[in-house]
Amino acid sequence: MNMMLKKTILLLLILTLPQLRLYSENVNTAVMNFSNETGGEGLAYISSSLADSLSATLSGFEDINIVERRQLSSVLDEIKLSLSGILDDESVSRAGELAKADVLILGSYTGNPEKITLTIKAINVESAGIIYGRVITAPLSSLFDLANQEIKVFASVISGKETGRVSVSSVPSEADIYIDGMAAGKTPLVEYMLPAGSHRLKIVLKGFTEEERTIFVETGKDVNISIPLIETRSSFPWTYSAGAMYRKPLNSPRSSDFESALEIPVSADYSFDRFIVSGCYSFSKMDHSQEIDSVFGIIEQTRWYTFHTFSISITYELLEEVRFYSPYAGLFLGGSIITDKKDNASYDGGWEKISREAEFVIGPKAGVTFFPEYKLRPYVEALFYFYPAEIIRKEYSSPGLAGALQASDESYRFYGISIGGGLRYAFR
Amino acid sequence: MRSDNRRRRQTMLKVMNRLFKAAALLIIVLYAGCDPEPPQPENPVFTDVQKIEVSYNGGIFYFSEVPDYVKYMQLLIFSSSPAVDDDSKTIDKSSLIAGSRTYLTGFSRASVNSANIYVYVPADDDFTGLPLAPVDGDYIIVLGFDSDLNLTHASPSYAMTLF
Repeated sequence: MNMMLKKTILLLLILTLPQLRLYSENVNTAVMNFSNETGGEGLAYISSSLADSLSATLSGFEDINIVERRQLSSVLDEIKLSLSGILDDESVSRAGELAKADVLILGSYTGNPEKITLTIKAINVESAGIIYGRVITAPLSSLFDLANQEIKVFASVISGKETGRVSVSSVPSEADIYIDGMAAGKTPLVEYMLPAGSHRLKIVLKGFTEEERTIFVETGKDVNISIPLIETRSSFPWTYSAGAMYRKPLNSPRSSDFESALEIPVSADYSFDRFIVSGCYSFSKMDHSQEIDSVFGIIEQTRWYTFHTFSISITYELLEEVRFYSPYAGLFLGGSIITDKKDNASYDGGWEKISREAEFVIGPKAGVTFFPEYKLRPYVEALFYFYPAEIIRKEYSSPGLAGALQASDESYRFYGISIGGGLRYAFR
Repeated sequence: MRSDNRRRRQTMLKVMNRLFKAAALLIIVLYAGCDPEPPQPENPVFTDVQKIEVSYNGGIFYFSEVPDYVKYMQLLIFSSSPAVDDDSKTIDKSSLIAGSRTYLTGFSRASVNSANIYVYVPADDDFTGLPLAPVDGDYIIVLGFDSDLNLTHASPSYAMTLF
């Protein structure tokens, strides 16, 4: 090995010696009182209480020895660091010496309770250089959280641990960001430094679902996260829906078949958290044409029911957390105006009203709403309908020659199923 | 002798008087019984239906005022004026003797030839018997139905002597 190479290695060792000292041993760190620059005494308590809080947080790091705050009182008295906020090499060196600290955490704050600007710095006592600094602007209510979140990054830097940066944005913005359970600001958050490793990120904005995910920060790398926030169902209590149902009767009278029918429901729904109360109107026209044996052969008499149904339903959303779909189940009850009609060429319009009845109807219902957090939501639904009261139906028979059709009464109950779907539109 | 003649003359007067009265009565009776055109029925046999008018000429029954929606028709011939129940819209078939209807030979929505009138067979409740021409004293009723077999039209009960 030549002389030149040896000199180079020696020079590198000399240059890195202070760093090695910093990284290889626990770093004595003192958190000084913060300088109150607000111009009043109302927020003076922050000066020491914030320092206490940050000290407590830093004490949780293995690589950092926190200088007892009680030991600092004499230092503070002597150099008045917390009051002046003005640092020079001599005072820093003196403070470090008095506190027996390698690194001083200090800073100042200004503003009012609604908006406080806090400056935090980590200063190497030996070099009097700033290792790391951060400015936080936040209301008093979240200042401590943010500062404690930040101090974790300080800890990583001080102890020589590796860090990376994370940028978080959301749509809409201004969402609160929590990292590892502590407030870290609002979106958009740009190049926020974090210790390398995995962190728990939570985004909170009133009226939107909370987003929580794990992020992994690699040393010296940037992590960009963009999160579209989805409005919660509670922010859309009213929905209006329209759809189409396939209505299938499950019974029929002797003389005819109750045919399946198209049912058109419209409803207005109101959500009480997971309970949904709906007022619904539906219309359907059900064929029940009857075949009549006559001297002219088998004649089909065209008949149909119209159902105008008004109902109220109460359903419960089965899942607490919903994103892509939300199943629900419940009951409905209401009444139908059932009109029996048949073709009759001698009547105006070509049809004759045979009877009209108002009947109570009840049944269970269940369905799934898709994308329940969006304004426009498809849904599918199935219900079983049952009319408890018997319905009187005219049965017609031919008298043969020399007379009109003869009617007799037959009673039966309506019941069946409806299956279909539609769209719901949500309003605030 | 004189009294015998007198008695004979009185008897003759009585006989003549009785004959005169009988003749007068006969004239009255004959006058009343020989009315050739009793009041013609105007209204259909049922209420709430449209009227079909029937005419008879040259051995053919003609039906008038039958709209297109009348798909099925029956021509009914009764031996006597039938009883009609307007509530149930039925006619007593005890005196039904013959007739024709849609789908039988020679029957159309406009007319039917009397040669295509068939005997009513109660067992079949249809006109499945032999041809039978109507005669004076029979009653004719025509009914019309739409495609759903609703009774929409009916004629008055015509006496055959009218034709």
